[in-house]
Amino acid sequence: MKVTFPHLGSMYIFCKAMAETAGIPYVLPRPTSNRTRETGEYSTNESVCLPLKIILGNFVDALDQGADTIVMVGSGPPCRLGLYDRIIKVVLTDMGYSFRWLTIPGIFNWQALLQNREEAKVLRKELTLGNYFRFPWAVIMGWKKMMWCEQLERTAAGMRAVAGDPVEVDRLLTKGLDAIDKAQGVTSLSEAGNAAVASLGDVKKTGRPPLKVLMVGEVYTVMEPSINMDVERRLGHLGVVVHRSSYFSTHIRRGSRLDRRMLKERQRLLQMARPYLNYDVGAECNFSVAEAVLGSRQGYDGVVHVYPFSCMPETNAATVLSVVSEDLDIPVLPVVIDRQDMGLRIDTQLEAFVDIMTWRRQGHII
Amino acid sequence: MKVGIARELLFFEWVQELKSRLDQLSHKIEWVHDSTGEARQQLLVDGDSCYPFKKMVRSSISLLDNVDVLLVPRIVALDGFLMCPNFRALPDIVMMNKKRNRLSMEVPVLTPEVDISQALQAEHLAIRIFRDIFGKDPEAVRTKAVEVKRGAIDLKDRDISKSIALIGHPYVLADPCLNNGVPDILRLNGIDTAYAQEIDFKELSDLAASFDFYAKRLYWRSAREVLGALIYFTRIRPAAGIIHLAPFNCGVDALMRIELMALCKRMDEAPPYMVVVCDEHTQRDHVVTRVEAFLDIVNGVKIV
Repeated sequence: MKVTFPHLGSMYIFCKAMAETAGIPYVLPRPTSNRTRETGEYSTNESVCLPLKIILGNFVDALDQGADTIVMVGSGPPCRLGLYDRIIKVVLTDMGYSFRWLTIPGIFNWQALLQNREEAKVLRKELTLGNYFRFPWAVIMGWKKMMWCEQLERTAAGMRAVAGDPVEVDRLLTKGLDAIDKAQGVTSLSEAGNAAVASLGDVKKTGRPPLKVLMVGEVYTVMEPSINMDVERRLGHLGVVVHRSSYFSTHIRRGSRLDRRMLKERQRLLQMARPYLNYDVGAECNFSVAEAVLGSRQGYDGVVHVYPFSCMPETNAATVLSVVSEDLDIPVLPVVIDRQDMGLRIDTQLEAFVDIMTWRRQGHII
Repeated sequence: MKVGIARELLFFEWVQELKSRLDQLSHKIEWVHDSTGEARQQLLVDGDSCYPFKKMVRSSISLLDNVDVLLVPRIVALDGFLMCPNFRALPDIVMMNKKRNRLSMEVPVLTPEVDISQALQAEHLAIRIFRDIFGKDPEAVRTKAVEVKRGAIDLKDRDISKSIALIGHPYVLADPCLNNGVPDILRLNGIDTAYAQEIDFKELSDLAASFDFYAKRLYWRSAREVLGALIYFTRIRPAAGIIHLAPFNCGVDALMRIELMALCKRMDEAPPYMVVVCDEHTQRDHVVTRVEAFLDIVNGVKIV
């Protein structure tokens, strides 16, 4: 058995840590590239959302490298994400691949648990007692690594905007993530994490006050830099601190519904979107709107709304955000992402957006 | 009392039933579905939403001049299956456009939540809407269900082996603006057509259920409708060919096209299947060419 999983930001470090600690062989797909996009694009159609294409491309790559078991986190309706596994299975079978599939339920209901039990039937036979024994520790180790990754990414987002050399921050972030990935125990993980955060803190600063932007939108697009054309890094290089609405841990907490604080927060955000959306449209739509409202109250200079072309909930969020922008007097930049190679287009958009925010801060635009 | 509701929404059987029940509750309702002119304002929804959704918003807005009450139901689920997220947001987007463009501010917009799978729920909802419109309870509360399949000849009595089956969302199949005139082109070519909506939804849903796998149940109603219809027109009562009319950028159909295409590939002797992606283009010639080429395949024309 060789398991594989898709790329989603630094989630691969979490998955890898779990597989390694539990002693389960795995294949890590290569980092998402244009080739990954193209593989997904050629096997689907123009209206399929980009995350599905990228995940499909990741799986094709992993299966070509010898993986035989795909593990993917599921989701619920009404967004398309809830049916990704069903459709990807169809496409991969159509492409002639043979594989086994395990969906980790995104929402814990009896149907999801039954499905999980059914899918895991064959896999269970291949797992040893040792694998089972080490699994709880594997989850703890994975979770700890994920928390360190997220802390490092947050610190890097803050430092990039004020650093004299933002490229140095990118380099230190990559190095830090690599060290966290390689750490074998809790102590070495904590040493690697602390060292990486400290090294980012030591970067020479310019002293200029940074702009503050909130990045909201579809979960996959917000979290995976290769999908969102690295908007966070590009803005950081223009002197903007980017606060992401979503981290992987946020969604695990929301999905598990075990964290009462998150449940209350969810209700609070739905309430905050109320003047504009009186019903939960689905996926992140209402949260994108609510977080933008919250962002304006918290003094952010702007909101970047990233979503894949044809995403049903986020298309509605984009419409609503254009009204939020006017009502609350906060610039909102919608960045609709598809497979096009458009780094320069994104740069131009972001530069213009940063100019607007700078002028507003200086009082030139009222 | 003039009550407006966008025509596109009437293609759902349950919405037709609601309308009929409201008529039974009051003879004072005069329904308005078409406006005298199209909404000219730049609407907020004019982005990358699918064309049917944009048209629904535009139709609803354009009715405002001519009605006393505008009804924009928030259709969450029908027959126990979900509608796409756009239907959940439709009332909010319409109201936002109305407010922003300061259109007929005195006209109230009613946005009842529609989640119907039984006649009794339709009856209760009709009473609630009546109360919202007239501000009082109806005199008689009992209403009768209407015949759900109106006007359609029962498929079971027809020979459809030489017909072309049309599958897709009901509003797309019924509205020439949304289907790029494909049904008309077929008719002009002397071809008989059979529609997915002529089959009882329960039958379609049961057929689609053969592909469900625990949590991997198709949760959208329209997805079950097209999958069930494809199985019906290929395995139960094969048609000569199947045309799937899918709106550009429709998230549901984007996924279903993959599943249906793969299903057709795996079937032995499946009738020819073609997807026509419909958008806002008004060019008719390219649609005619595609339909004619498809009919050539159906008629077994071979290129020597």
